[in-house]
Amino acid sequence: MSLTSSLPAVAPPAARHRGDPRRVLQLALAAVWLLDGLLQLQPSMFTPGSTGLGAMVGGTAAGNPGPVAHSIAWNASVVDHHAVVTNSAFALIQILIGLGIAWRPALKPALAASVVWSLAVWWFGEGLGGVLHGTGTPVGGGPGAVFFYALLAVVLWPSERAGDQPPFVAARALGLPGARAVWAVLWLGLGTLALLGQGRSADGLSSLVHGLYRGEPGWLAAVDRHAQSLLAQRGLACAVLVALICVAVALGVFGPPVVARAVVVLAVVTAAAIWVVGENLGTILAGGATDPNSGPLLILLALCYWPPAPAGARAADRAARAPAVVEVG
Amino acid sequence: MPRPVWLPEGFAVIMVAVAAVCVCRLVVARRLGRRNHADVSAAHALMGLAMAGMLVRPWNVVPADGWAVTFGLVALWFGTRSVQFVVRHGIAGTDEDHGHHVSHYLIHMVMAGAMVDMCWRAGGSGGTRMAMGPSSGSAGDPGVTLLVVAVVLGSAVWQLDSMSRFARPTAPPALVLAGPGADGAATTAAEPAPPPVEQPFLAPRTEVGCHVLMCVTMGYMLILML
Repeated sequence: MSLTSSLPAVAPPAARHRGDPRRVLQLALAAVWLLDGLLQLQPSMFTPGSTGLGAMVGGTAAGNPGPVAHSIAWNASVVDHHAVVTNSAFALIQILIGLGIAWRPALKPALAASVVWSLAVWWFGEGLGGVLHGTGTPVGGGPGAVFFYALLAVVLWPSERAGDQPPFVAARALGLPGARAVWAVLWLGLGTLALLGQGRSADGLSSLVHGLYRGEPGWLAAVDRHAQSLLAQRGLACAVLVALICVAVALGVFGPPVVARAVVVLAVVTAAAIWVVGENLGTILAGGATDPNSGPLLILLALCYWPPAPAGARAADRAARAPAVVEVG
Repeated sequence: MPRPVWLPEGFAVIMVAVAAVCVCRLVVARRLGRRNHADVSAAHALMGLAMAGMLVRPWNVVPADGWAVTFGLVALWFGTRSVQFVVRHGIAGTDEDHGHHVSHYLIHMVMAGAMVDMCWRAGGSGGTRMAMGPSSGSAGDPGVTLLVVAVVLGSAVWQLDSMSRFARPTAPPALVLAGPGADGAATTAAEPAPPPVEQPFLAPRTEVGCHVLMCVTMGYMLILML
């Protein structure tokens, strides 16, 4: 008779994460928050005046309704007058949120703080993403990257509402109907924003891309130039195409798993295209960006809706990867 | 472009502290006979000193070319360890101590490679003095730099998440008799766990903490070079 231990002394990290896709997505979100915080520490962010963060924030006030514009202008003034203190605080908060999400004991407080912080920044720092004055096209990052941080925190909240076999990660926190409703409302909303205001004008998308190439590396600048010439005078057609894709993605989540997978792939490809062409990777490579924009967050959100493999395939996979029982006596 | 002086100095102080902790780990592990990732601790100590010298120029004690050669060798070392690991455990295997993957070695190879790049850029044409800042980031593809930033920040959050692995167990693990019991089923034994045959690993959470701080600081410096 041999004495064996059924539990390894230390669970391998890969094995733990392989079993919990939600934790992997939470860690990806944590990494994006960390990136945000470090981008906030760039020298230009500490500079007052027309090239600093205060001016960047103040620029989002234009076009918004009076009370919203006034609150943004007030915030911009505070940031401009106390550039070093406010920006240091902003960076610290974002870094702590990222580290908090990654450190398990602080997960819930960090996610809750990220919702509050994101909504505050969405209002006071991004002018509600231009939603209220027709410049919130999803191709340009609408309705604002920080909106997606808040949404991801809700979708990845560590609770279980979908029973033992949730159809996808998002359903674990929101339940299946809630998660589907969030997805549908989000993508129908993005489709609507694509058709509103500046986004549907003949040169709307072309002018959005125009000038993005400055300061970018050669390969990305080449993409920008091609995109600009491709989109010239085709703004309305492209906006309609984006809107149709958004509607298909929104409704596809209600279909069978095969369709759901197809729309998640379509969502990821669309978000990636937007991130490269419309957002230029958040203009991080040109310097002075405060975040990677909405593209990677949309991809992360889409992965929260990826239907897992059938139960039989998962069981076979687990059996194939199970660690061997260790002989200890 | 102006930036608060305390910011790079703060990061430099953290890096010196990490280097000091890693040197202490090497000494204590040797004196107590405790297990330790000696190569990782040594690499972290070197990276900490080099990054502190890049962040605050007067603190640099080694010429940029010297650091570049050093980290080239470090990258080579971890590259070799990665190959050895794959040969021994396979691409998806884990090692004996912490259940580490091949990524444990690959990430340090990437970090050492990033250090070589940073030393070249920060050293400029002279190759003797190093200075960190946005003006020093004129060479290289920023897309690759951004990719490295993503990798090191991903490693930081991944390692931070792994800290919970090292919590002290509150009770000895259950032991299962694999052979058939009286009723033909496996039974749980009440005996305590046998004594460990190897010395325990030295302060694994400290090692993880050093790695996280190293990754965050490196991410900051790489972003400045974009």
